[in-house]
Formats: sequence, C-alpha cells, structure tokens
Amino acid sequence: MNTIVPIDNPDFYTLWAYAIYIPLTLILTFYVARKLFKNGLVYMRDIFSGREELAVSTNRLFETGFYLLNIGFALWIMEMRYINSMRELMEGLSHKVGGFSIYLGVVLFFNLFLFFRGKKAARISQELRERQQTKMAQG
Amino acid sequence: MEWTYIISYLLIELLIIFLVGGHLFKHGAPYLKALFPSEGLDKFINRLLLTGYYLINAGFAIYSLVHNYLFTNWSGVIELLAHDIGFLCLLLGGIHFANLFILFQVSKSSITNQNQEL
Repeated sequence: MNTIVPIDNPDFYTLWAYAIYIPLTLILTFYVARKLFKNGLVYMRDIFSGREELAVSTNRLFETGFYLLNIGFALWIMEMRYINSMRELMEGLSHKVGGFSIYLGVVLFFNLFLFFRGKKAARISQELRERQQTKMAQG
Repeated sequence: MEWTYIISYLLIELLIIFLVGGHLFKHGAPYLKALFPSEGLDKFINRLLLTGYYLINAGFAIYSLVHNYLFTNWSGVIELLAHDIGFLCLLLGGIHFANLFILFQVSKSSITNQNQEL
C-alpha cells in the first residue's frame, strides 16, 4: 500500500518553509549586493573625482544600508501560518520569495538612481569649475 | 520557550547593533575628516555620534522586548524573533540612509570647496 502518511505535527511544514526561506533570501541579497557594489565603486570613483578613500568608504556605507534594508525586510515579512500540506508550502514560499525579489529589484533601482544622480551632480560641478578656470585665465 | 526567545532576542539584536555601529564608525571617519579638517575634532565628533547611536538603538531594542505573546510552538518563536529582528534592521537601515542624506547635504559645500583647491 502506497498511501501518504499525514503528518500530525502542525509545525512540520512551517519550520521547513522557514528553513528554506531564510537561506534563500540571504543568498539572494548577498549575490545582488556583491554584483551592485563591485560595479558601484567605479561610479563612486567618478563622483569623488580621484579621492579614493572617500569613494571606497561611501561605497561601503551604501552597502551596509543595502544589506540592512533587505535582510530586515526579508525577516520582517517572513511570517507564514497555517501550512498543512506540501502544496501550501510551495505556494506560500513562492509568494514570499517572489514578493521579496520584487522588493529587492525596487531597492536595486533606487540605489542605481542614487548613483546616476551623484554622477550627474559631479559632472555639473566639474563643468562649472572648468568654466570658472577659463574665465580666470581670460580675465 | 519564553527564555529562549528573550535570550536569543537580546543576543542577536545587540550583536547586530554592535557590529553595524563599528562598521559605520570605521567607514564614516573619512567623511568627518573631510568635513572637519581641524585637528582632533573629527575623532571627537565620530565618538560622540557612536555613543548616541548605541544609546538610541540599544535602548530601542531593550524597550521593545516586552510582548504579551503566548508561545505554543517553535514556529511561533521563530516568527516573532524574525519579525522583531527584521524591524530593527529596517529601522537601522532607515536611520542610516537618513544620516547619509544629511551628511551629504552638509558636506556638499565643504567637499566641493576642497575639490576646487586641489
């Protein structure tokens, strides 16, 4: 007889859901943060125009904020109740992980927006400086 | 279960606050140096900021420990722990970005002036 034995313990599926959810979101966060801030350093160097120390530390500060916001949100929305079967586990898990991925994308684009804005501000101040220097040279 | 919750809550929250505080102290130093070029003032302000950070956040973590929650199973413990730690992390991240924003606004004039001198 090949019947599926129902599991009495109501905690069983919930604990499995958490055991899958937490490592998955942590790995996702670390992967995205590494990709973002490895490439973000180039922007930071551009923004701070050769002041290496400030560029590196700004990058690190943004990275810390990114980790805090994402891991915080992932743990904050983790609560999954009333999971009594394998199917409900898959549904609940996909719902949560999908929602977290959307949030991660939004935060990623927000960070990119900050990078672009910083680069624009740096370019404008650079142009202003060049104009001033040419004015000084002329008059 | 109550004691497991209380002990792991305090340990994890204080550890997070301590580690993040040390990180911000270390990487915020170049900023304050650019902002306050005079001798010793930047280190003094950095240490004051760190003390204020510890007081506010450790105070919040201990203050929000009280729950009238009846634990019946282990998943409830994990849920509540994750909810509280997640909220603390979100709060820290929010305060951190607000601080960065203020620092940028304040340091804009100072940093651009120094760039002009270079």
